[in-house]
Amino acid sequence: MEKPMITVENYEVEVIYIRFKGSYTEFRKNSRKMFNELFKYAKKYNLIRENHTKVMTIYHDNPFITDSKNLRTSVAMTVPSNTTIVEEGKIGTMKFGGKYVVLHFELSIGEYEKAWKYAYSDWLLKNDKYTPRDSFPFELYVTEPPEDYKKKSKTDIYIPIE
Amino acid sequence: MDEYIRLINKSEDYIEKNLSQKISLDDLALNANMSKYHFHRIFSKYSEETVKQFITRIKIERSGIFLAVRKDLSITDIAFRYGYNDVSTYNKAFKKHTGMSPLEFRKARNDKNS
Repeated sequence: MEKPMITVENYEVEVIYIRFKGSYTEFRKNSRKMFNELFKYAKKYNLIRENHTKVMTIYHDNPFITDSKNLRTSVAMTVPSNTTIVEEGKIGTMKFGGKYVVLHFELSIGEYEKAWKYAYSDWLLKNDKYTPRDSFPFELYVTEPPEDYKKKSKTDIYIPIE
Repeated sequence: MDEYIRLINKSEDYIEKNLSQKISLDDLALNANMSKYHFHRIFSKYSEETVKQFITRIKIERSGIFLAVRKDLSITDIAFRYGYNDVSTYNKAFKKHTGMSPLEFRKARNDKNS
């Protein structure tokens, strides 16, 4: 894993999401199914915009503090602004944003955990430059997540700061 | 069932955005467009905890993250940020949930980070 480029961004977004409650291992077993459901819904309501739509995974809790059975993880997809979204079934909408420090990674499928560890333990918490803000971090897929173990894809980790 | 999961998620989102406030059942029912009675019944049926337990747990857990990463803030500052009027109520709630006082928790987490 190469060290990421780092930028600061003000990011405001509206997404549709499906949330999972349970351990990260259980989440990983379910995530593809959840993304597929999100895509199906987005297609049905014509919400996908080529080169604009972004897909992300949101981590609402901290695994060092929250019991694994209570960990909440959401898969989410950005929606075009000024669109009326019909909430349906499990799919909800949410707006969030603010100031973030963004770590731009190129990751293979096995490197995500390492990237998060680097972002928090090895970098942010050893660095006095940025002050963490109380909001959730997320990973945004800049290019399609890799299908096989050799390829890498661009993934940005967003950490909320003041 | 799916509708209720979505409703609970929506309530969680509302709570997460208002951690520094006292969040009442009225606020949550209003946010969910439901009567207070109906909201409470659905939340308890489809979630494993009551609304009140959920709010307390989220406040304690989120404040725990803050205790660990924001060494510039005093424990009293943190108690206020999470809607507690005084630090002793916060201390008690924190200890009940985690088995440690906020100060002990902060020290333990600092050890891990250094």
